[in-house]
Amino acid sequence: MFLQRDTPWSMKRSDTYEFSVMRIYALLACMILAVCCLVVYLAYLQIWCRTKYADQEGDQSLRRVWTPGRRGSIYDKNGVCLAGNRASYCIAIALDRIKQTGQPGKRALTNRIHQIIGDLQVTLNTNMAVSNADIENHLRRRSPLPLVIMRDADETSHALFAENKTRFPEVELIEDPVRYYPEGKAAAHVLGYVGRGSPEKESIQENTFEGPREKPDYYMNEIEGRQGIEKAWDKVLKGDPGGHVIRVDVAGIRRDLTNDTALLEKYRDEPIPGTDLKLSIDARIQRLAAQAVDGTNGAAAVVLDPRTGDILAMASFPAFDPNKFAAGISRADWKDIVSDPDKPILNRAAAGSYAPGSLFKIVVAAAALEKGIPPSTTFNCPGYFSLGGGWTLKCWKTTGHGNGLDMETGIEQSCNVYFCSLGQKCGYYSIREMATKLGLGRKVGLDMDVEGEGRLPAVRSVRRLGDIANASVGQGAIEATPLQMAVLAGAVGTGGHVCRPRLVTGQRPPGEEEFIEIPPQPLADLGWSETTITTLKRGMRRVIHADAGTGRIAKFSNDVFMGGKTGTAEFSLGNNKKKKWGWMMVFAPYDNPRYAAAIVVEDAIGGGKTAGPRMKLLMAGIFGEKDVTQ
Amino acid sequence: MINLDRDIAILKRMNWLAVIAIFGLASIGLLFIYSASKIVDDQPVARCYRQFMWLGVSTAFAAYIVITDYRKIARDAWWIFGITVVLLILVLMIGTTMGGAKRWLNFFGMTIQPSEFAKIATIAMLAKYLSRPDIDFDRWRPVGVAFLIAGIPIALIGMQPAVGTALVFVPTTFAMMYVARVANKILLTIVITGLAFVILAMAAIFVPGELGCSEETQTKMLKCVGLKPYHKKRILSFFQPGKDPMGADWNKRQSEIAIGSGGLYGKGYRNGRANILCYLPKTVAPTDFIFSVVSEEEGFLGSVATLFLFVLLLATGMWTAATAADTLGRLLCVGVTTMMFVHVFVNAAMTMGLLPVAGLPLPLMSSGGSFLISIMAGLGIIQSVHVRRRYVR
Repeated sequence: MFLQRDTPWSMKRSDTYEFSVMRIYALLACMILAVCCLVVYLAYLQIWCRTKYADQEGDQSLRRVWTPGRRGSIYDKNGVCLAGNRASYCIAIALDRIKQTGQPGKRALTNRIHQIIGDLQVTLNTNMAVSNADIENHLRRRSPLPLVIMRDADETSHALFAENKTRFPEVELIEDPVRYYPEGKAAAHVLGYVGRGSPEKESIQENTFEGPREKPDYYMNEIEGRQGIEKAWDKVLKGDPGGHVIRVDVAGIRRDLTNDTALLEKYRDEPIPGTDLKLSIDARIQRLAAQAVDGTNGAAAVVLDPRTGDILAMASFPAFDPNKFAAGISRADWKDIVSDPDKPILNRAAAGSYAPGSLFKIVVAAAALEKGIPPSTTFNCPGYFSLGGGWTLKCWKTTGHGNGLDMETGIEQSCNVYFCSLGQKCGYYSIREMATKLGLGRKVGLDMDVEGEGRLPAVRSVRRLGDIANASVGQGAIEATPLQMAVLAGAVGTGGHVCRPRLVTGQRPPGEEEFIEIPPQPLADLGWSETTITTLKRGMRRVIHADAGTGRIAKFSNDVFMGGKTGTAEFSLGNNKKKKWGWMMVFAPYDNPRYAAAIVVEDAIGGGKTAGPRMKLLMAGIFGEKDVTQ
Repeated sequence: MINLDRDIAILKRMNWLAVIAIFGLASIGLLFIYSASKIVDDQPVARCYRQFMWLGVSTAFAAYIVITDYRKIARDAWWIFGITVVLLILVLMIGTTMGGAKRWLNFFGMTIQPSEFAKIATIAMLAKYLSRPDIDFDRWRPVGVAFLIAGIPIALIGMQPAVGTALVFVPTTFAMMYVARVANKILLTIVITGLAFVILAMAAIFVPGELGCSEETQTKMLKCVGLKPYHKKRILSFFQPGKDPMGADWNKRQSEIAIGSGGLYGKGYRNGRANILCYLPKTVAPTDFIFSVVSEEEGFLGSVATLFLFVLLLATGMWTAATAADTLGRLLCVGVTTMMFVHVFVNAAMTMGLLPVAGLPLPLMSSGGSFLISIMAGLGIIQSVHVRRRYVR
C-alpha cells in the first residue's frame, strides 16, 4: 500500500516505541492539567469574583448626570413676577451621534466637531464663538454631555436649523431654561443675577443617590445665583437636581446600549423644583425709586415700612441689566461691567458707605434728649464753631443763624454750630450708644448677601473737641448706608421703634398653593420719652413744612405731612478736592408712618437741592395714586 | 500529479473529531472577531471578511498538506527552514515598524509575519533532525544541535523584538526532545539551567530597583541577562497592578474586568460592555484578547466550551502522535500540538491576568492571517500523519 512506502526511518525498537508513547501521554496529561487550572481560575474570576468585576465595570462606564429642578420664581408683595424662567433653545452637538471607526479618539472627534460647526455657521449665517480650547475643555471635563455651540438661539437661527435638520444628524436642540427679569435694570441690585454654576467642584448630593459613585458627576444647565436675593437664597431657589445614569465609552462619550435601559432606569431620580420667594418689594415703588435715583451721578434710594422692616424698594444707580447675565454673558461685556469705574454691580443702597452728614444730627439730638438735655436748650450761632487755637468749624450759613436757636429750629435749619455745641454738651459716648441702638455702625441683619456696616469710630478715638464737633455733624470717620438711614428715619417716625429690615416675606415650596409667610422680626423699642419723640418728629416736620426748612423742596402736598432731614456730607478726595454726598431721609405720613425712605446722591450740590427733588418725586409717586386722600 | 479519487480517499481518513474542533473554533473566532470589531452604530465587516478569506486560503493549504506525505515535507525541511530564516533576517532589515517592534513584512500590499511561519518551519526541521536513526540521545551533541536549530529563529525573533513569540520555541523544542527519548539526566539539566536563568532575570529586574541603583545601572543589569527596559516595565506591571493603569497595565486590567464581569452565562453576544464601549481597546480585542470577548459575552460556560474544543484538538493531536507510523510523524505531531498548547495556555492565562502580556495570539480564533495559515499548516501536518498512521488493533 502507498501508505507503507517511502519510510526511511521507521521504528527502531518496539520497546523504545512504547517508551515514547508513554511520554506522549504524559505530555498530554500535563497539558490537560494546565487547562484544568485555567478553568478553575476562570471559575474563580467569573463566578466567585463576578460582583467585584461587575462593580468595576459599572464604575468605569456609568456616569451620573444631574438635571436641575426648575428654579424658584421671585414675586413682589402683590404677586408681580420679579424673576422667572423663560424657555430658550441651545444648538448642541450630540457627541454620541458622531460616527467613529476604530478605537474612539479625541482627534477624530475634534475634527468632526470643527466640520459641523463650520457647516452650521454657513447654513445659519451666524458666527459661533466656540474656540479650540472650549472644545478641548468640553471633551476633557464634560464629554458625556452634548457640546453646546450656540446658546439661546434666536428665531431665525432656530427656523433655519429646523429646515436643515436632516443635514445635521449629529446636531440637536436642547431646551435650556433661562432666568428672566421683567423689571430689568429697575430691580437689578435687589434680585442680583445668575450665572452658570459649576457644581462639579462641590458634591452636595453625596447622600441622595445610590449607585456608582467613584467617577465625577455631571451637571446639566446648572444655574447659580451670583448676587442679591439670587445668591443669598440660592439653595432655596435651586431645589434638588434629579439624576439619571448614562453609559460612556472609553473616550467618555455617551453610548446608549439597547439592553441597558432597565438597569439605568433603576437609578433615575426626578428633580424637585425650587421654592418660590415672595419679597417685601413693591414693584411700583421699586420703579419709582429706580426713577428717583436715575441720573448722571451714583445714587441710591431705600424705601421701607418702618412698622415691619419690609423693604418696599431698594434702588441703586448706575444699574446693570440682569437679563444680560442670564443667558450667558460674553467675556467682553463682563469685563466692561467689572472694570467700569462707576461700579454698576455695587448695591449702593445696602452696601454703599457714605458719611451721613447732617442726618446724623438726629442721632445727636436723640442722644441729648434722652440724656435729659431739654429741647429748649439754646445755643448761639455766629456762623462758625470755635474749636480753639484759631480753628473753626463753619456753619453752612456763614452769616450765622443768630441767637436763641432751640433744638427744633436747630433741626429745621440744620445748624452745624447748634449741634456741635449740643454734641459737646452731650458727649460722644452717649451719641455712639444711641447710634448703635439705632442700627448704625453694624449690620442690621438684612436677609441678603451684601450689607454694609457703615462706620462708627470708637469712643477713645473721639476725644478732642474737633473730633466731637465733626462727629456731631456726621462728618469725620462716621459712615452709614442708605438702608441704615431709612431705618433711622423710620425709628423717629414710629417714636423710637427700630425695625430690622428684610426682603423675603414668604416662601412657597413646590406643591404648595399659597406662600408660607415669614413673620416679621419684632421692633426694638428704645423707650424714648414723649419729649424726645415729639421734639425729633416736629423738628423733622419743620424741615419739610416750615418756610425756612432745609428740605422744603421735597414737599409735594399740603395734605400729606412728612418728617424729613437733609444732609450734605463733605468728602475729601485729597489735593484739596472735595466731593459732597447729598442726603435726604423722610418718614410719611407724619402721624402713623407707613414709609421711611432715604436717598443719597454722590457728587451733589447739597442735600436739599439735589436729593430733595428726587425725594419729592419718589414720595409724590408713592402717595400719588391712592394714599393722598387718606 | 493530481489523483482526485486518491486524494479524497486520503482526506476521508482524517480525524473528523479534530476537523470538527478546528472548524468549531474557527467559527467561534469569526463570530467574536465580528463582535470585537463592532463599535456602536458601526458595521466593520472588513476585518471579519478578511479573516474568513484567510480561513478559506489556509483550509485549502492545509488540505494540500494532508494529501502530501509528511515525509516529503520533512525532506524539504531544510528549504523551508532556510527560506523562513531569510525572511526573518529581511524583517530585521526592511520590516514595517509598529509599536516599537519590527515584526511585519510588506509583501505586495499584504503584511505577513514571518515569525509565525518560522514556528512550523522550525518544528519540521527539528522533527527531521531528531528522528534520524543514527542519533544517540544519551549524549549531549544532538541536544546541542537541536538547540542550535531552535536558537536561530529564537535569536532572530527576539531581536525584532518579540520575546513572547521567541519563547514559544523553548517548550516546543523541549517537548520534542522529550518524546524523541532524550535521556532524563540531560532533560533535567536543561530544566535546572532554564530555571536558574529565569531566577537570574527576575533578580536583574527586581533587585537593583530594590537596592536603589540608578536607572543606568538597572538598564545595564537587564542587558546582562538579555532583557530590554520595556520587558521590565511589562513584568513589573504584572507584579504591581494598579501602578500604571493607563499604560502597560490597561489592557490586562480591562481584560480581567471583561472576563470577571461576564459571570456564569455572559452578557450575550455583542453585548459585552467592556468590548463594545472600547474599554478593551479595539486594536487588541479581535487579536490577542479575543478570549476576553468570548468570556465576557458568553460567560464561564462559553469560555469552558471554547477551552474544551482546544483540549479536544490537543488530545487528537497527541493521539495521532501516539499512533504515528514513525518517529518523524510522532515528533511533528508533538511539536505542533505543544506549540498550539503553549499559545492557548499563555494567551488565556494572559487575558485572565495570570501571565504578563506576551503578545501570543489564540490559535484559530485571533484575527490575523499569518498565524492562521501557520497553525492550519501545522494541523494539516498532524492530519497528514494521521491518515498515514499505524493501525492499532
